[in-house]
Amino acid sequence: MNKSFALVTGLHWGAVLFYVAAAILSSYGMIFGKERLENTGAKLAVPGLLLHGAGLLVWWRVVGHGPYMDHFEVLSSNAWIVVTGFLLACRLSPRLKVASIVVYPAAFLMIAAGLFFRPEIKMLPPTFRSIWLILHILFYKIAFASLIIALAFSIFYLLRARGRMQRFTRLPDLAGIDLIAYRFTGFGFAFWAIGMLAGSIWAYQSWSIFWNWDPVQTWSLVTWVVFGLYLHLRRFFGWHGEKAAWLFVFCFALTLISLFITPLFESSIHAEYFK
Amino acid sequence: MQRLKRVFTSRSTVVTVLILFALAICIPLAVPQMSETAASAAWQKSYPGLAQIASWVGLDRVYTTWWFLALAGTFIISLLVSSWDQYLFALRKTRQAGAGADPGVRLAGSREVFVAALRSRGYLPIGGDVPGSRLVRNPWGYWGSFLLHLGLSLTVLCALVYVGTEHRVLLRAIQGEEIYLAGESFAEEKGVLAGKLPLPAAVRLDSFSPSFWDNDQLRGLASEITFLESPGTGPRLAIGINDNVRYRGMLVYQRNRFGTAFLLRLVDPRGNVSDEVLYLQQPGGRRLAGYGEASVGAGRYTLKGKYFADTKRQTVLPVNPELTVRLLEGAIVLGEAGLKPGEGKKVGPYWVTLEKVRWWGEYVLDGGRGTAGIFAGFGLILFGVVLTYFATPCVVTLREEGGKLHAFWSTARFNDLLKEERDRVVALARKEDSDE
Repeated sequence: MNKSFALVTGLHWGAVLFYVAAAILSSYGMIFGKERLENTGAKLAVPGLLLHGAGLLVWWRVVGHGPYMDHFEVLSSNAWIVVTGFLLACRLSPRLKVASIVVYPAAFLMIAAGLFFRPEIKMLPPTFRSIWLILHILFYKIAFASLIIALAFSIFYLLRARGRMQRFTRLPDLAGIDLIAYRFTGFGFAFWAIGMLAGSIWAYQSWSIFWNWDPVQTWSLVTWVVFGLYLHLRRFFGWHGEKAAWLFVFCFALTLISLFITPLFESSIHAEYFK
Repeated sequence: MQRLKRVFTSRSTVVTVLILFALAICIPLAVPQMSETAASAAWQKSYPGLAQIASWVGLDRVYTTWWFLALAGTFIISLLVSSWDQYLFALRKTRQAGAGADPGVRLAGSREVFVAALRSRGYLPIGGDVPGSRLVRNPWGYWGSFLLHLGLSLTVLCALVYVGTEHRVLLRAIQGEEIYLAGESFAEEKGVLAGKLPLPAAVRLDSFSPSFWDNDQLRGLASEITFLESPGTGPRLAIGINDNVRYRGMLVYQRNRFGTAFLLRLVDPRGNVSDEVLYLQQPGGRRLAGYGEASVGAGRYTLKGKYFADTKRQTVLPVNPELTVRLLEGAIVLGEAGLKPGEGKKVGPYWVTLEKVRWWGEYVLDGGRGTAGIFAGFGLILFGVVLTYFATPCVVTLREEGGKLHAFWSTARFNDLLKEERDRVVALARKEDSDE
C-alpha cells in the first residue's frame, strides 16, 4: 500500500513539474515573442497530462472507484479535466493558447492542494454507485474547465483594458477576448445545467427526492442562476467589456464557493466527497 | 394580451425574476428553515427578534410562502411565453437567416453543380426568396434555444405538479416483526394535491443484509420485505440501496439509515409491563458506539441507549452487542445498566429485560406524479444544449450581383471554429475543390 501511495504521489509531483515548466516556458515565450519556447511549453503539458492521468489511474485501482471521494481525488481529477479540456480547445482554436498562463498554474495549484490534504482511501458508499453520479460529476468538471478558460479571458480583458499584457501579441483584440470569455461561459453554463440535472436524477434514484435544498445543491443553483443572469445581461442588455468581465469574476467566485468551500463547512451529502 | 405577453418576456422582467429568484434561494442559506427542526429551534432561541420578523415575512419557510410561489409562477409563465417566442424565432431563422457581412464569392461554375456539391456536404434547400437560393447545413441547430426553454418550462411545471402531488411514506421496519401501517407507525409527507396511497395493511422485514468494507464503512445494503395485503400473504420484494422496486404504482426505496433495534421489556414498581424499542444507529466503526433514545413512562422518563456492535471490538456486525442503557428524568440520571440479550437488570424504578436484538431499516414509498414530465424536460434541455453547441447552422445564399451568381456563406455562431467550412464552400464555388 505504501508503495502505491509513493507511486501516486510521485506521478503527481512529476505532472506538477511538467505543468510548471509548461507554464514558465509558455508565458516567457508569449511575453518575449519567442515562438519556439512557447511551442515547447505547450508540448511539455502533454507528458505532464500523461503522468497525471497515470497517477489517477493507479489511484483508481488502489481505491476501487473513480476519483470523486476525497479532497485529493477531486482536486486532481478537476485539474486533469481542466488541462485536457484546454488542450482540446487549443487544437480547435490555437489562439486560446494564451490562456495557459491561467490554466497550467490552476492545474498545478489544484494538484498541490490535493497532495497537501494527503490522499486518503475512502470506500464508495452504496448510494454513490450510480452511472448518474458519474455523469453528474463529469459534467460539473467539464463546466469547471470551461469556466477556468472563461476566467482567463475575463482577466486578460481587465488587464488589457488597463494597458497591461501589451507584450502578448498573440492575444486577440479586446472584442475578441470578450467574445471568447462569453462563449466559454455559455458552454460552462450549459454543462453546469446538465450536471445539476444528472445530479437530480441520481438523488431521485438514491433517495426518492430530486431536490432537497441541500446547501451544496442550493449554492449550485444560485451559481447557475447568476450565470444565467450574466448571459441574459450580455445578450439582451449589451453588457460587454469590463462590466461583463467583473460580473464573470463574481460568478466564478460563486463557482468556487459551490464546488469547494460549501462542502467543507456544511452538512451535506456532497460533503462525503470533500470532508 | 400582447401587452401582457410583452411584460412577461421583456428583458427587464426576465432579469428581475432571475435576480429575485437567486436572492430567494439564498435566504435558506442564512435563515434555518422550519423543516430543519433542530437548527431552526436553535436559531430562534439565539435571535428571537429576528426570528419573529423572519416568521412574519416567511423567511423561515421560503418554499411554501405565497410570494415564492408567485415568483415561481411568474418564472414559469415567462418561460412558457419565451418558449413560444423562441419557437417563432427558430422557425423564422430556419427559413430566413443568412447573408451576414460575408463579402461573397462569384460562382465559377453552374448553379446546379454547386448546389449538388453543397447537398453532398449536408446542405439542405430551405427558404430563400427564390426556391433553391438558400441552403442550410444543420438547420436543426436553430432550435437549440427553443428546446432549452421548452425543456426548462416542462421541468419546472412538472416539478410543481410533483411537489403538489408528492406523497411519501417513511416507515421503519424491524427484522422479523410485522408493522401495521396505521396511526403513528409511519411518517408521511404530502403535497396539497396528494391523494391516498395504496398502502399495504402491513409490512414485514424478512431479511436485512448490510455488508461492510474492511475499514467498517458500509459497502452495500439489501433487504427483503413482504407487503402484507391480507393476513399473512403478500408479495415479497427484494430492495437495496440504488435498487428500487415498484409496488402498486409506488416506488419503494431502501434508505441508508439503519442500525440495531433492542426490544426491551420494562416492568414498573406496580408490575405494569410495557414493551419499548430502542433504535440505535449503526456505529461508524467497530470501536465506535451507536446511540439512540426513547421516551418511556408516558413521557416522564427518557431511556438512552449506547451500544458497541461487538464486546470484543472485532466486528461492526452486532454478533455480540454490548448495550448500556441509562434512565433519566429530565437531567437527573436515575439508573444505568449494561444488558446482554435475555438479561434483566434494575434501571431506576424499572426492571428492564433485553428481549431481542434485531436489525432495523428505513424505507420510503413514493407515490408522487410528474416524474415522467421532469425527465422529459431534462431530455429536452440536454437535446437543446447538444444542438446549440454541436450543430451550428451554416447558410449559403445564392444571389445575382452584376449579372453573375454569387454565393454568400454565414453561420449562426462560432465563426472562428467554422472557418474551414467557409473555406471549403468558397473552394467549391471557385471549383477549386475535387469534391465536384
